[in-house]
Amino acid sequence: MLKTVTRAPDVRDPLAAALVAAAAMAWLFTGDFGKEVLSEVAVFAIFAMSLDLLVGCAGLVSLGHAAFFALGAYAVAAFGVFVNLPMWMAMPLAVAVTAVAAAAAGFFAVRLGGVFFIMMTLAIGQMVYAFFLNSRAFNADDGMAGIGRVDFSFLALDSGEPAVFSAFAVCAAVAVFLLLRMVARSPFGHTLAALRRNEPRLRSLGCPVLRCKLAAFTLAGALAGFAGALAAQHNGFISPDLAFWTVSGEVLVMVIVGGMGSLSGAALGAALVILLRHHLAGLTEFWVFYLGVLFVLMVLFAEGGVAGMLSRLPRKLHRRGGNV
Amino acid sequence: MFEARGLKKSYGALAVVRGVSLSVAAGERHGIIGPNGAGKTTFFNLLSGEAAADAGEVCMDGINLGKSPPDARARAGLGRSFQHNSLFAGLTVAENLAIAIAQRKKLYKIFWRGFLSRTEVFAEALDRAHRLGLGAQAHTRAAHLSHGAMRQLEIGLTLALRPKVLLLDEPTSGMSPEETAAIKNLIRRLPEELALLVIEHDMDVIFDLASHITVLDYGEVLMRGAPAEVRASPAVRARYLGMG
Repeated sequence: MLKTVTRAPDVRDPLAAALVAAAAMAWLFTGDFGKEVLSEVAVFAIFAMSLDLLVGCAGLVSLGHAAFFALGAYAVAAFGVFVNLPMWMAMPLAVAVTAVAAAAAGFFAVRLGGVFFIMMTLAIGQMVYAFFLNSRAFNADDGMAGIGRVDFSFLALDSGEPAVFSAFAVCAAVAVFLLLRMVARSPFGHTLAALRRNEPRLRSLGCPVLRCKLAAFTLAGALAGFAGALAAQHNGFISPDLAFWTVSGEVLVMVIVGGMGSLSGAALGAALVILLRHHLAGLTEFWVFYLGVLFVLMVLFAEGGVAGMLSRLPRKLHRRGGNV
Repeated sequence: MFEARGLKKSYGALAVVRGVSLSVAAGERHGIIGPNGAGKTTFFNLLSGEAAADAGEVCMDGINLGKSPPDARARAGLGRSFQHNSLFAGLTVAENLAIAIAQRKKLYKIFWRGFLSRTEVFAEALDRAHRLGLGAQAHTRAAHLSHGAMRQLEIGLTLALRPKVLLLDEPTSGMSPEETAAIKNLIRRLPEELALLVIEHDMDVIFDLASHITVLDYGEVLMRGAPAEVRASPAVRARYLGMG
């Protein structure tokens, strides 16, 4: 019988379980600073997983994904600070706003293929950056501060506590992982994977490829907006830099280092890049340089990123065991 | 039931298809022959929507397909295979077929349930693999198939759409005599009501299968008729069959 249509079974789920276990350990055994880092990792894991739906599954390489991350952050700030809505309401509204924006941007972007799609997403990202940079309402390049967090007082918990917020962020990341895994395993997800492999053929088989790409782009954008809405609450501060193209590049590095086409790989990539940043930044000013070296090595020698390396590990161990 | 009227296509100053009309009835087996560069594949691309015609129209069951893209034409019942194999190389034979079946059933709309739970799709995929003569290779990746098996899968993917009109672009190109015989068999066993348009260079295959033949030359219809008439025509013999 068929096990899978697009991929061989691999370590993806054990990796996801290991990541959740690692997050639980970090939450239990680190101090406040460790929990702040854990929140950051969880937020970027959501951001990276949403991009993996585009890059790893559908083969659409976006260099403007940070636009939707920033839109989610600005929207949640606008609803929270200007309209004074509680975060429970501001967050879904921010996701909805981002979804609409992603659908509008995607309407133009998905018509283009290859490098033109990349250029279009880059342009859209920089347009969003330029808009917030010049927007008086959002304090232009000064950004906005004083963004609140979701209220857990009905559980007698204070979300200002790193322990509470990091647990919330990790739960959100797990929920997004489960949602995206469901999508990837569905007929729609398999259709996206077939689109990555051979778009003209899929089109000739009657698949409305533009609509499928637009649906993927919108979902990915909405989830990036969700990540942005969490980031705004975590930092309490937003600025136009959230939309800058280097942020899009950084999240793409997370996806590639972790392993394209693997959701838990993308989450692992987010964790690796953020932990490296925190550790290397303390040791050297040139941490971006060392991150670049790691990236080049991964692309050259580790097909499928860290997740790909891990998925080959059991076979290697097995072979070695057989030889002894 | 399927009709093309006055199709034209130029690439710059080069007129590749210069006003070709053609109509195919249900159940008809229509061969298209012509020398290299006669515009046969371009003509197919105009029919399937892969290329936009400069003039003319394509109708299916009396409905003008207008400028609709290839996927809309496929959903209207127009299936095509490609001259150069276009498969999902990393997937197995059964998986290739399952993807095609899923498109016919419009399953791409479903994002909340697992694909693998759709056992009827995979049962049909295996059944189709058997009927294509690829049963033993159902779990072989498309990239690892022989050329002949790839050609069979190429046609099988299109058939999985259950098209009303089937366009085959050189189904036996580059095949051994045994593989050619297998393809001929496959074409003979096509559903009777299906309208078939086939471009082919192997004259034995075309004269054997086709009920009607259109000869294209320099982007125009040189002649049209039953196989015997075409074979006997002095113009065709001189221009194409090389027996003048």
